[in-house]
Amino acid sequence: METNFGPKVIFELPGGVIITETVVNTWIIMGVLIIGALILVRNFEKKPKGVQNAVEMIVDMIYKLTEQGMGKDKLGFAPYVGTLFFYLVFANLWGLTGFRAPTADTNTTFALAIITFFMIHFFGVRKKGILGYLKGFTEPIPFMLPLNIISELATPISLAFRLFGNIVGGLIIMSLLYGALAGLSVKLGLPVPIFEVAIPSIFHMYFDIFAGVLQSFIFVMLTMVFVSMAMD
Amino acid sequence: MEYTDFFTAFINWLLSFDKKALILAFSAIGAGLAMIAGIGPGVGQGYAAGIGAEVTGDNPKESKQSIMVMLLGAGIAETSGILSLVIALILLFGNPLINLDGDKLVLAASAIGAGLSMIAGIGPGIGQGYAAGKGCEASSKNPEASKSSMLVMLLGSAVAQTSGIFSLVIALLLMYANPLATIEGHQLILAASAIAAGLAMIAGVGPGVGQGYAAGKAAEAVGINPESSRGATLVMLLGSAIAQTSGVFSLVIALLLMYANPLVTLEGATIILAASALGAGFAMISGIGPGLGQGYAAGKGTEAVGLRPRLQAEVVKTMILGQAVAQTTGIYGLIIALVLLFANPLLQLL
Repeated sequence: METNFGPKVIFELPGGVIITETVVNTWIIMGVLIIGALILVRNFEKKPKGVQNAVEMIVDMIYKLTEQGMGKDKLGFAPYVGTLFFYLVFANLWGLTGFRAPTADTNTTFALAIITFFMIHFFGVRKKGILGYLKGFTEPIPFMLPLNIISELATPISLAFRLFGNIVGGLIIMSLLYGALAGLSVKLGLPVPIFEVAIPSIFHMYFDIFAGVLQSFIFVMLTMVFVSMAMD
Repeated sequence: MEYTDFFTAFINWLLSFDKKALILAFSAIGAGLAMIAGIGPGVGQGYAAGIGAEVTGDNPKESKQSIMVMLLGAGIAETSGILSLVIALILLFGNPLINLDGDKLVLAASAIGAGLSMIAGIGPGIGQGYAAGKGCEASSKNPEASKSSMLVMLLGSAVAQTSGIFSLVIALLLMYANPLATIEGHQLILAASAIAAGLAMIAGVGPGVGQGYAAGKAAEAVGINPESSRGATLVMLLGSAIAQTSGVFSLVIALLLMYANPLVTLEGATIILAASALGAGFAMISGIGPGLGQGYAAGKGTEAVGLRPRLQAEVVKTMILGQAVAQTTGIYGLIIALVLLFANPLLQLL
């Protein structure tokens, strides 16, 4: 049975840059999102109807979520929040298509977590000034300085691994399950692998849809909360 | 030197057995270890049943609905017990390890690792049982909001299962897709790594209990104030996600030990390397504390938002600040585990 759950290398660019499944799948998702956005916003009118209604509802929802997570004064973050959320939902549900979810790779989750990390500190400095920002590390008492530094550094690590762990856990369980069901079909000598049809769907519901959407939501919420906490 | 002799004698004694016999013997231990998870559902369901009895006494007319909620929640709390039972039965009746190629000591240790990993099931069992009890209580106190409090309870319980699922992943990997068995040599280090991967996963007890507490508090909050359902659910999910952190760290260490084991490439005394793997696994157990504590904070945060939805931003802020501090000892454990694996200072001392 397969014992390697890492992403496969698809091809190598000159200069030794390795292009894995993760990168290719990310390109596809980027394409789907960009083309989808371009198609959906065509022919917008003053009076919304049809598709425009649905799009406006989604945009409203993202703005409401941003307001709830960050406060009214930080609505400027909504476009990033929306983009991040849609990318994560697509990436986490990508496993359903039979391809590998890009978020089952620490490179993807760390890239996203590092963006959050820089947002926390950039906006913290911009809002409070460099001195006010540095002073934040000695609060509530100067004794807390090392603890505060550790917890700032731990934030992106736990953010990245939380997403990765949940998605890769689902990926491993699903591939073990498919392997076991295929083994069962072969053992019983069935010409058609009927076990692989219905049984995995319940597991896909939990591991891909439930965990995927929940973890997207959590990543976005935590990003919002951390950034807005750095600014307040 | 007497002790090293004892150790060598022990390993040699183990190696003197036939491969199949050794794996089967260790599988017996693994099956027993897995069943320890039964502590969780036992405690949790007992709590739920107690609340069920209490609400029947308080409000006999509405008790039918709340008892149903209690039974549903208790059924979910059984999940980790059932998962452990499945692992134990596989080890007993359909042991996949005896058919694998590889070193017998590594395969035998994998059976123990799989069993140890399942112990994490204690957490979800207790936590989901608490949630079931609170859901039952909420349903009895406010029968009209019974459905929404039950839904929140189910959502929270599904989240609380996460660490149990992580443990199942590690146990199944050790049994069916064992990456350690295919590595040549280093049998003692690899065997220790298999056991350590299982040990690390025990940290899942913490997040399981903590997230279950948060789920219970969310069900309670929705029962008291159905209007606050959205905010309470949100805070519960956020708090639970942070309470999951130590469980995720353990999963990462376990996967590292299995797929990118740095110890097998190091030069040094085998006994130190093998013991370092075990030490890394033990260090990760510290995650029980942060998981429990952060879950408690998540539960209290949810309760506060349920009572005062308008103060959500402030409550979340305080909750997350406190949870970040509560993570500290778990991060110390992680640092020690990573030092043992990647920058072991003990090797140079010899």
